[in-house]
Amino acid sequence: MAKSHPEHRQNPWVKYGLITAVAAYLLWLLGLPIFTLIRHTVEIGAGRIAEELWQSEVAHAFALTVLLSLGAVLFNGVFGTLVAYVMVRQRFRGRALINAILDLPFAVSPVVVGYMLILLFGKAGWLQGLAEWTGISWVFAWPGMLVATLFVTFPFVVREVMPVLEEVGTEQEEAARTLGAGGWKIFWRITLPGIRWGLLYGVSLTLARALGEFGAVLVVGAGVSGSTETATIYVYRAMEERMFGGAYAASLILIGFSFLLLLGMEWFKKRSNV
Amino acid sequence: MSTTASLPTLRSWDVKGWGLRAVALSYLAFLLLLPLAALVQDGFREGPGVFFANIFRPTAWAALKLTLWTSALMAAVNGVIGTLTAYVLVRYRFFGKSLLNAVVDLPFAIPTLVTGVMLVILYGPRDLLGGFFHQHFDWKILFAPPAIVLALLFVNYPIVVRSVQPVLEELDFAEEEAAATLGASSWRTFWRVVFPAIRPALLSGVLLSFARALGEFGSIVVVAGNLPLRSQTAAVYVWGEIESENRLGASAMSIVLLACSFTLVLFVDWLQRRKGRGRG
Amino acid sequence: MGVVVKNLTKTFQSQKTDFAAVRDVSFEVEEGALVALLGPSGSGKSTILRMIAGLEQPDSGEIFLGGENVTRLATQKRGVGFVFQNYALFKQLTVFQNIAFGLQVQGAPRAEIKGRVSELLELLGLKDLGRRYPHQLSGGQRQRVALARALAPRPKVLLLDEPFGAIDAKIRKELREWLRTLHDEMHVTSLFVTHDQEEALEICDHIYVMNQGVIEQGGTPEEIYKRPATEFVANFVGLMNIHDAVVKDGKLSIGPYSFPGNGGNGLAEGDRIRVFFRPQDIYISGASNAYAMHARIVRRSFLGVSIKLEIEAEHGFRFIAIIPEHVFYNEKLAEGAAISYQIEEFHYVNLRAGKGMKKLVFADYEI
Repeated sequence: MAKSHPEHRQNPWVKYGLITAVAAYLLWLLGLPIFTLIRHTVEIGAGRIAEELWQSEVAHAFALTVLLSLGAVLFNGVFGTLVAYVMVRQRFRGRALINAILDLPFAVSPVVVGYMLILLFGKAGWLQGLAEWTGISWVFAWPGMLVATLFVTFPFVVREVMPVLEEVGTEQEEAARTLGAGGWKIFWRITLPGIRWGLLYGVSLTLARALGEFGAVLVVGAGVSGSTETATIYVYRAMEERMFGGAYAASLILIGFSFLLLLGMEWFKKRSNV
Repeated sequence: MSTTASLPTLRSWDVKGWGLRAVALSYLAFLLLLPLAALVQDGFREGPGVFFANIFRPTAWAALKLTLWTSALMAAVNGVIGTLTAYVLVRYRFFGKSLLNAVVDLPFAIPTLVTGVMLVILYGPRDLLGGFFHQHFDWKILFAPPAIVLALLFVNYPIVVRSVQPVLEELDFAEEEAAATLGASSWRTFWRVVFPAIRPALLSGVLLSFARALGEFGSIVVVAGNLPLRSQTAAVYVWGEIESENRLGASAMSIVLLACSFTLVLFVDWLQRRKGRGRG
Repeated sequence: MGVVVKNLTKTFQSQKTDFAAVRDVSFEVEEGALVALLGPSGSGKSTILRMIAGLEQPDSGEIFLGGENVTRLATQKRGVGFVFQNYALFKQLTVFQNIAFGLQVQGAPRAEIKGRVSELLELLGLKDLGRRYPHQLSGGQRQRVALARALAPRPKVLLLDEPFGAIDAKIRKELREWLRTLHDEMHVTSLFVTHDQEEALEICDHIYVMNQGVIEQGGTPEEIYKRPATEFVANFVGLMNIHDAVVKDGKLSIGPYSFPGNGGNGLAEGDRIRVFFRPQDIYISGASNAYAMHARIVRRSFLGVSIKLEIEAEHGFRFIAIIPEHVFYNEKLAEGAAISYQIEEFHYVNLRAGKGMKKLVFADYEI
């Protein structure tokens, strides 16, 4: 944890000057926009908001967002932990390169992600055969949107679990082995409890990113209202169609989720540092 | 290596290790590598000539330039403010510190599209700031480059802070004290002692936020709109090309963006590994 | 036989070089004995322990536990108890759950688990700590929990890897005495790895001294201490005075002492010899003695029950002697005082011939 530093010699003018500067910047950058959003939402009034928001396609959009997010948590929670385990506990050729590539989804434009999946699953794409064979339409449908969400949220669990696994070390697992425990038992009783807070932190990041994903799912799914429209795509459409009540209120709901997740993240982060 | 009779046979957990690795790497290949390969193949389908022609089209070239300079400006500002925030969070104790520390992550948690919506309201002509700038300076912020920079600043704020903060925490305060006992001013101490120590982390943070900014879409599409040659960034341009079914244009620009991300991510990884080795 | 290890070899491969951690090592641990593998860090002793437990796979060689060849058996099936240097307690389980883990894995009935764990808690003086978590314990308590956890499933062999390495000096001494007592009560075959010679000498029935992947010498603590087989063992176990000399004119001279070159010692002219003698093997007297050598005390330091003397004799012959405190006072010794001394025995290594250590024969020495 952070060492507490002696504070003598600190010039109070410098100290409070810097703190004020940072606080002012954050108030302007983060506080003011959120405050303004709330003010405008309140001004529009509950009546109009309810009217605009109380539509079946809005409910559908939120439901789709929740489902995609849960899918991302499930798949990337499991496979992310697996990838982290393999990366930390095994040595093989190409490991360093893979380690570098893990961060790639973090830097690739969401639009490009969506577009790549269209190329892959769409007409004349390499996996078009898979699409036809499974009988599932991937592009312009939720399966493609799920893959897009998986792509953009992939690094979070891996990156949070890897350092924790490293920190926990192999000794406890070895001790369990000398006591006669097999692979699964060691994983469930020793490894998983050891990394749980890091994993939960990674899962919250995944959830936050999945709930808010826009570009990638818009491009693969095309944002058809009532079908492939997610919560963020709904907000975008509502803005375009000047349904500000619905747009602002839905935005606030999403921000509410974000705040809840942030609280959870703070809690998990503290626990994982213990 | 010679195989002798006493060489151990493959044991069950070795087999399991192989199995786990195979599953993990297949997932990675399917999710990350296959789409990338498909894109690169598509972009160069008609040969490099067509690829470059698509990049140097006026609208495409303008979008690329706009993206690069707004991202660079944001990354520079973010580098300064991020370092300052990290310094304040690590070095000082004050009322509300833990709240401030938590709030730093907020831009990661808020959907970028919602960020765009909030900025549109705030800087729109009907609200406080937008009206103020519009009336007094005749500055148009929305649907113009300033809005892009603002959105990028919001979205990427945490990256530099979270990259520099742990390094500052590791830094021994005694070094600063030693510099002070040698008569160095705080300003000089910062430049000579603190800054060199955090430089690799700062550079990683700045480059990562730059890489992310190049591809930012959700917030920009709302605040900057889609005005070719004026406020259309590269990611928004790709989207426009997809919508108008110009596949070659979309693929070419996507490859440029992807190449930038790839290079930056690999470079940052190299920086971090070098830093790790220096410490060990 | 408790543990038999035959021709064990292990090489670690890193990017640049191969490191031979263990080179063709064979040894045995008798049923019910407490045996130490003693050596500096990097001598391969921990690697051997980990191979016996199956945590590391040997390149070649065989391992037998209780007569059964376990070389290719998975760790889980070997029935060993392992105590790790840094405890390796399960952080998220309580003391009770930690100790119960091995029995649970075996599928023992709940009542039996409870009985066995309570018995061990009692035996190890951890009675009221069952509900604590590892981070709420002191270093010594953690070590005892680790031991209880390893003992709970009644292992055939107990393997301890630097068990007291991370504990401070005073508690360390207590714990090692207590380990010996525990061993005498339970009689479980124990092999224990340490770099602390004092620890090994004090509690073990048998010691194997290791260096650079090979066993230099095996024997009882007395044998190791009194008759070191190699220069390494002589240096590593206990304190030693060391002097180099050359055989000249058929004689080997160390300070005032002179030994015959050939005859009993079989040295050739010009052989370079390294001579060793223990500071404790020196007889010191304040009174002048016609049959002894004469010298002067340069410095004395207080070691508690004994006193360390730095002594300078004729011909610039300097050495260290350690004598009991009461001798120092009875003989009325002091810094600067003249004394007479007699060195009881010398060992030597012929630097040209190899590392085997022999005793120097006094034969026809002259005063």
